[in-house]
Amino acid sequence: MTLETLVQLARSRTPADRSRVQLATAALAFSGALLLGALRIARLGKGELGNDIYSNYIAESGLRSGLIAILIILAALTGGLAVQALRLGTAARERRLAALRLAGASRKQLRQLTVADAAIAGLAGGLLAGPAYLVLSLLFGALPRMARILPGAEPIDALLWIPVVVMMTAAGVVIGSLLHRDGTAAPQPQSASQRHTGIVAGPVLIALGLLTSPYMGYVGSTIALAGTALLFLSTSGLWIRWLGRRLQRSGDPANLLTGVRLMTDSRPSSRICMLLGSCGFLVGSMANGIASVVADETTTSATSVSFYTTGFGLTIAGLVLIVLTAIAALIVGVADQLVDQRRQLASLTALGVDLPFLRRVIRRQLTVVAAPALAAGLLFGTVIGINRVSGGAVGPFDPGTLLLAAILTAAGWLFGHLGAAAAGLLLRNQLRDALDPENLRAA
Amino acid sequence: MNAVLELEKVEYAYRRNTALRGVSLQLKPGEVVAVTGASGCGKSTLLHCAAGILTPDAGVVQVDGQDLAELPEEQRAALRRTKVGVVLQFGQLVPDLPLVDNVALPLLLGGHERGEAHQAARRWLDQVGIAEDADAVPAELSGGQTQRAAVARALITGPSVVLADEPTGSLDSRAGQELLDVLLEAARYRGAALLMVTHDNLVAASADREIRLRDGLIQHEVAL
Repeated sequence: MTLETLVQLARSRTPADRSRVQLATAALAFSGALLLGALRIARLGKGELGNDIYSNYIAESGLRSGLIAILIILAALTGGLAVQALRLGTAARERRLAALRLAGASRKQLRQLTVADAAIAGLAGGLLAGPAYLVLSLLFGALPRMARILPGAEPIDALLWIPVVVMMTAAGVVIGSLLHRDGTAAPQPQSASQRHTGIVAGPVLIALGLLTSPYMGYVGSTIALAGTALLFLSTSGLWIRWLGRRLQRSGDPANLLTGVRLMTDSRPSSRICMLLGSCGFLVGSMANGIASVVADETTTSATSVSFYTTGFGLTIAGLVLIVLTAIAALIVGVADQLVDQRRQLASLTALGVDLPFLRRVIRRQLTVVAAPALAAGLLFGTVIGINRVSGGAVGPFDPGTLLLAAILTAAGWLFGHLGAAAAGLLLRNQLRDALDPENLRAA
Repeated sequence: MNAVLELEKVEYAYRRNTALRGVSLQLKPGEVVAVTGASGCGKSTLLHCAAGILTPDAGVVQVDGQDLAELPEEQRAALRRTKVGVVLQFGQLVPDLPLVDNVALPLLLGGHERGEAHQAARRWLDQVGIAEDADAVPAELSGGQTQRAAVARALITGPSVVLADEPTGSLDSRAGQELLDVLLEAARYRGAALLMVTHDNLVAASADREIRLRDGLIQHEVAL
């Protein structure tokens, strides 16, 4: 296969495929911009810098290396978003690859096509990383001094852009290689005994963490967090199935169809539910931490407050990226379900089901998974967050904590709904394709 | 004359469901053979084993004297691309590619230049009577037109054997007869052997030989 053929066959042609690559490119551009930021800060050298110009996170050499590490971690998390974007339409692409295989493509050629597809997104992302960094540094430049963690670019920084383009293309190659499935076994569902163990062990670990944290500090809070994640993992499957059954009994056709779709394969929804709940818990904990810093009399100087809130803010940014990745993974699962069930969905067209109805079903399917998990995680995280576990200044039943918990719970609920609405918008091409009566004659 | 396709005691099972229980058959150059039988008797599995799409649990599949099981994956794909043409019930074309690219695919995957491959594809599209649809994508065409494109794609590399699984199964009787004429004429033009799996007695009647399968075994074989 010539390079021209490889590029021709790898490039996206359908609207659904184009939106998939655009999303991946945007995520990789953002990831590349964060890497550029890390390189830009590394270029500042090792000595102390004036903290009248730079944020303390840049000015102090010890914190600078930490900030570089955080930016690299955030870049990797954003790369995770690109992975989820490229996974969109897996079922449709597998069918396309099967058709190519029938035309005589070898496994190696199919792998090359998958890798080339992701590498093109990586190259485009790398090329867009430079302008994206300029925009980000301008935005951060408008913030208070402590939060200015991305220094403005200089002409010489254009040289840093070249390795970022190479790295993003290489990241695309790696993602493409990982995504190319060659007879991979399907994951095993969680057994009842595993689930029961989690339901018992989760609260035990939470209790252990709460009891030991006054003496063991963050070791105790880590135990509590592990317990929370285990509890979310064990109960999310039960919650999703209960919800699916309840919706299936509903008289509303949209609820009925949502219930059926949830029950068809509850595992991806359960896993995402667990991830969103855990992230919500951590974000709630960080919010609790910020409240604690603001309330603590020993750290009330403006510099200290802005220093700690910037640190917590960076952590929250990382967690928000994980939440976005999880929601993206959920969307990917729904999109693939749409392709897999396209014949059934096309037959619904004959019964009068239209695009707005199916969009409503999809939105509901995503909302019932994302909104309660995020809201519950944020509520528990704010009330019994890590800072509280570690003996922080803000108690669980302080009016301020309860108000913060209420605000964050509402925000989590709203975020879940907004995510679902955005998913409906992102999946519009897949929804239209799924309802196409042409699918009735598809094999 | 040496057989271009030879299956010897081929067995295949889908988990606990045995589809083929030791089927042997030979195809000579230019010969047209129809495989018939009830649904689930193993017809399609036999064709997929012959095409190298499925690997038999036991037995030997030889194309032009080469044992498929002994070839590494790359060579097996190359053999499938150059010596074997496959036509399935719904064409199974790549949905987002125009017909000309779909038909040119085996050549493009084999490393041919785009211009040269397109020229050959357009010739074949003309041969099967859909030259004017060269730039359309499969969704814009009828079932008969996509099947014609699938026939062109199967024959573009000049294969020794063409394998067709219910090639007229998704078409009405007139379109089916037209496609069958195109398939037989194109295979004869190339001198390729043709193995067709079919439910349709009229399609089977156009073959030189009919092999009837039952429960994964050859029930009887008749020259027509």
